[in-house]
Amino acid sequence: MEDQLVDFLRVKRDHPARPVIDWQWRKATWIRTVESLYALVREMLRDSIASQDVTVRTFDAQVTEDFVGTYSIPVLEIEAGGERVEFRPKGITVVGASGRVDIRGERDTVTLLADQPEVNTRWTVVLQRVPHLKAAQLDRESLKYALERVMLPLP
Amino acid sequence: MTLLLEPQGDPNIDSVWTWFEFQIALISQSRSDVLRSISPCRSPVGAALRSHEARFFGFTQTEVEEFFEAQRGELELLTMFELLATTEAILRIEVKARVTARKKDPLSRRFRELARGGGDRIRLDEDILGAMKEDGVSANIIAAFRGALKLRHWLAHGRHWHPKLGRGYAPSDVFDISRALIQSIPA
Repeated sequence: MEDQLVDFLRVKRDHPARPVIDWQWRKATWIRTVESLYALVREMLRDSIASQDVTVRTFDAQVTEDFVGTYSIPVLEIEAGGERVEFRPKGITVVGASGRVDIRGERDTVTLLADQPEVNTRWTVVLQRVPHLKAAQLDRESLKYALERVMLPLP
Repeated sequence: MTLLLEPQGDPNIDSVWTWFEFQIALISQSRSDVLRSISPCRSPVGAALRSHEARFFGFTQTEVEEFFEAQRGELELLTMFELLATTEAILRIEVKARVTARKKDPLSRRFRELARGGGDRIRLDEDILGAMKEDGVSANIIAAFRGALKLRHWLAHGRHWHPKLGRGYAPSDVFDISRALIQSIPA
């Protein structure tokens, strides 16, 4: 019986039900993916940054996730008209996507999702979850929509 | 879908409990399905999600668990309400049956007096439970059900105030209280 138990556990080790994930590699890739996102956002905001309509900075924050543990990852902060908006990474263990960054403003939060576990992934903006999912690829138009939604309305 | 609303001829708290257990199992299954979809090896965004699971798109495990915990909480409240409402229906049907049958036992006589005096406006607490208590049904059983009626009142009116119930209730508590009362109805 003991041999059968040993055999069983060895087979389980050699044939895992799910692929074995290198979480440290995933974490390192995720941090670079987020940095790549910030570069993309900075590029989209290039003219506004140049004209000093917005200021952009990054700082580190701690994120804790199952499997991955606690790690440090940059947050992007945009300031416009005295109002701050943060791009806050939530993590890689999320439903239906390879990573999530929340765009948090003073009014609301919009979710950004990484399509692939790759540094140069495309990003999806969740416009609406219910009653039907509406999402759009991140571009200047969807970024404007996201910022309008999370920031206080214009007077 | 518009439901055809008909009287429930044979209300039964066991049926309510079966429904509750089935719903709990569905919630548990759905929770497992959604949590399984949390994988770092995904293909296109949302591809593995079924349409009714789209609301979880991008949720973290904690958020998923909070969502399903809230669903379970709502189900438990609704179940407790349904158990108490069904118990009331059982009692009212019992009153009507005894009045109609013109039984001679003391409880049936009390119910007949109530029917003569109050007609359709026989009150659950003061009239029916009061008559059962006078007839010798355990004061503890009556008191436990009366306590649970405060819960029903709170649920039926949209839970817009902080209830002073004197104790906490789980569906199993309300089921036991209701069953004890139903089983204590004298033959």
